[in-house]
Amino acid sequence: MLKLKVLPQPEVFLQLLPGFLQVQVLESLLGRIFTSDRQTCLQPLSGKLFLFRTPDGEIELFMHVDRQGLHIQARADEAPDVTICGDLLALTALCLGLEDTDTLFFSRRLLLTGDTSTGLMFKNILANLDFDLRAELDQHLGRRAAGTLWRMAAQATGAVAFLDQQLAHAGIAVGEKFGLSSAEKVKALKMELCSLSEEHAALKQQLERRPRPVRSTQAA
Amino acid sequence: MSTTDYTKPELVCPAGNLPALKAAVDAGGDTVYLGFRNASNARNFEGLNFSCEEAEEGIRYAHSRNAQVFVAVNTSPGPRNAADWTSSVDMAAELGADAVIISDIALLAYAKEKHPNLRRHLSVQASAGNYEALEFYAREFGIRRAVLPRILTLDAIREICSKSSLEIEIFASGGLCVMAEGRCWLSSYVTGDSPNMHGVCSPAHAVRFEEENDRLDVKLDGMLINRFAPGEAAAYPTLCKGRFEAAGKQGHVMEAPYSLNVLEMLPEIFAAGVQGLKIEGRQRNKHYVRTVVSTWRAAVDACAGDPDGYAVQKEWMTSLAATSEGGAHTTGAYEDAWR
Amino acid sequence: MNRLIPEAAMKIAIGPLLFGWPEAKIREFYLSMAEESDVDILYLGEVVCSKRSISGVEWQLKLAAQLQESGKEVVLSTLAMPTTERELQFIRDLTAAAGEMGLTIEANDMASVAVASRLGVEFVAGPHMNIYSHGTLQQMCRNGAKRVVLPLELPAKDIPDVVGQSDVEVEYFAHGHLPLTFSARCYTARSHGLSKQECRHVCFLNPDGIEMHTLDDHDFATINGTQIMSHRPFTAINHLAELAGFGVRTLRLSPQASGMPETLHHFRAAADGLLTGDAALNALTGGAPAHDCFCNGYYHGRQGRVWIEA
Repeated sequence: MLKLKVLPQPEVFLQLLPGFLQVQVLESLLGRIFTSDRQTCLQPLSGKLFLFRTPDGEIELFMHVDRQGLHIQARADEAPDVTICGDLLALTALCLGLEDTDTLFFSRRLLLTGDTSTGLMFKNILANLDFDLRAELDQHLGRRAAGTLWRMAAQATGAVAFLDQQLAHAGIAVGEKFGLSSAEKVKALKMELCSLSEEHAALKQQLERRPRPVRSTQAA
Repeated sequence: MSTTDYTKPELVCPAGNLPALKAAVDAGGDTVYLGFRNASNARNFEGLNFSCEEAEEGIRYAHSRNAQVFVAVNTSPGPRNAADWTSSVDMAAELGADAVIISDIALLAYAKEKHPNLRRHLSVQASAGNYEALEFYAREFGIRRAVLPRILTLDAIREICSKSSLEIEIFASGGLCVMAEGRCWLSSYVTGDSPNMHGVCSPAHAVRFEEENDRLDVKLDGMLINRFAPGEAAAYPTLCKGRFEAAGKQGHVMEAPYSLNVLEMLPEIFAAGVQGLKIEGRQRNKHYVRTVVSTWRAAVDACAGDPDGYAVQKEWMTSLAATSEGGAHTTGAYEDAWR
Repeated sequence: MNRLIPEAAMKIAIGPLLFGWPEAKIREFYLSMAEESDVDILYLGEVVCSKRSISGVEWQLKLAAQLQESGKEVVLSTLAMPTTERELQFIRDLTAAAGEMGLTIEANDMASVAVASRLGVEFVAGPHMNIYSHGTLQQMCRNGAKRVVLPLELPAKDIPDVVGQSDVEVEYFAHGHLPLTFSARCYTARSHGLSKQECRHVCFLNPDGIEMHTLDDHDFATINGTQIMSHRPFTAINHLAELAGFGVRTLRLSPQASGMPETLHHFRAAADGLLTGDAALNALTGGAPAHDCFCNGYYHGRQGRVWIEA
């Protein structure tokens, strides 16, 4: 079970990772989370091709489900049935069930085009999962790195919450953070805060030096 | 207002799946309501709702933490598949649910006869907005509680509470249905599927989102029902909250997508004798449920603790507004001026 | 279908007026319908908005008595969403009077069923009473329904399953704008920039309702006060033989500001087998393609707004 009280905000921990690792984390977490005993729940999605992409097109991941399970690849020969477009953090939040996803759609951070019924099925299947994100991260990054990351993200979350409070008192409604221009400002301020941490800088260096992990999911 | 006459209402929380149920109970919900995976309930969406095993586990989880579980079997049994409805009622009884929420009179009669000890609640889908109807349901079908239509004023609610022998439950938060529920055929008019017959409104198979230069067009069965400007908050693709043209004007001809939020009215609601505050949102995930239920828990406890000194806290409003459709909230029909 | 309707002729009912008209216009309309030999039943009463009942119960009862003199069966229709004490009292007064006058009421809310069953008055279960299954139909009959009007969205082929072996009279909404919703907000008032409280009865200015279109100029629906209706009228005039085969004995024609006498005559001719279904449909459209004039999706269990060729 997720220990909700100490869960850092997803955007914080994900942004603490260097770029190349961000996509890998998303990819392989999806693969790991949908272990064989969970894959039966994915069967309603069989035969459907999903595309996850960022608005600038920099990240594009295709996903499909068959009897063997979930497959993630960088390219596909056919047009996708469902396309979900959003910033990386929103996509992560959706796929890892880290946030209320309808809010992401309302605030225009996620857009679902194509076969809406399959997209909705996907969203609801994900929402029905309960998994231990911390344990998954432990497995992927190794216990120490994951632990440090988790702790720092929790600290940064505290700092971010403090910042949110300050902004709220200054008259900027927290709800407005989903508006485009305010969100950019808040994000930038938050990241400045995060980037001030020395420990963060040290961890990032450490991770850069690690050999890139072999991808455990199938690639095109 | 007397400080001695306040009833602390139950928080009745939505559970579209098991994680959401647990989140609701953990966040302090007194009761959760859920449906099975068929057309017998009005949130029959793909991948949503409970299997029998999940419902069993959910009921066990809730009961072990002193929370109740209501099972919604609130749509209309169909001409050939009425067994889906009666079997859902049977399953709810077998699993030890605390109540079934029903709108159809034949199903109420069935539940009364087959499971006399299973509490029967009248669903909002019955659209029973007056005490004549409510007392009739009470007498004929032995219902103990009724969920009132969202289109009544607070005065009307107060009157019903004072005249009716039933426990009264009202919607307090979440998606706002502006038409009389159970009597709306807008969805089937455009898509062929309806809440009554299929348990859906604006079914996903008919919905298409199309983006053009950051403008978001929403189509239902190929018909344009809304257009969101770049950056504008989006909403569920329902017809009642779409944008159309009438009498030479374009816009939300019927309703704008605000969500219901009666935090401001809590003392009056308490004083009226309302027994249940229902939170809408079975289609939302556990994070929404946790946020909303914990906010309402805090508000209800604050009001119960000091009704005369009750004041809506800013953080409650921002929490609710952040998760709501349209990003804003209204007390809806509860205030006359809305009409 | 082109065969003749067998046995007992179908009855034709003029349904309750759903639009907002001044009382003088309503009176004139119903008195003229009472003169029509093709009509068997007249439904009189406000279903949508109690603010339209300006002259109250007495006015309605006086007109009902007059209509009774024509020999037609008169049914007093009641409000679909009563919420105030005043509205409930209206229903009680109407139902009590119906009992005395030997009339039935049309129940469009469980409040009316409650009152009718308490006063021992028979009632017609209106189209919003959600009779989608045989069990529900039986329950409604047990509560005193002598006639039932089936839900508009129920596919016609499901009618036999709903009716079963019951001998209750079955009525089908066979022509007119489909009433799709009820609300507390008045959309006619809103489109005039007014609220329901200060509506000034602006609905009287739109006897056919107000058209609603999509943002890209397609037809969508009709605004009728607190009710949204279909854009085009529904018609099942070309399916009467099939409806008879399904057990329907009464056809409801929902009042419109123009063309009612003609519509009525074509329906009677078709119901009596004097016109084939296609000929009757053609007569209604005046030769224009049916899909430009009417919708019938609900008959076929499809989207209400479409036209499906037979």
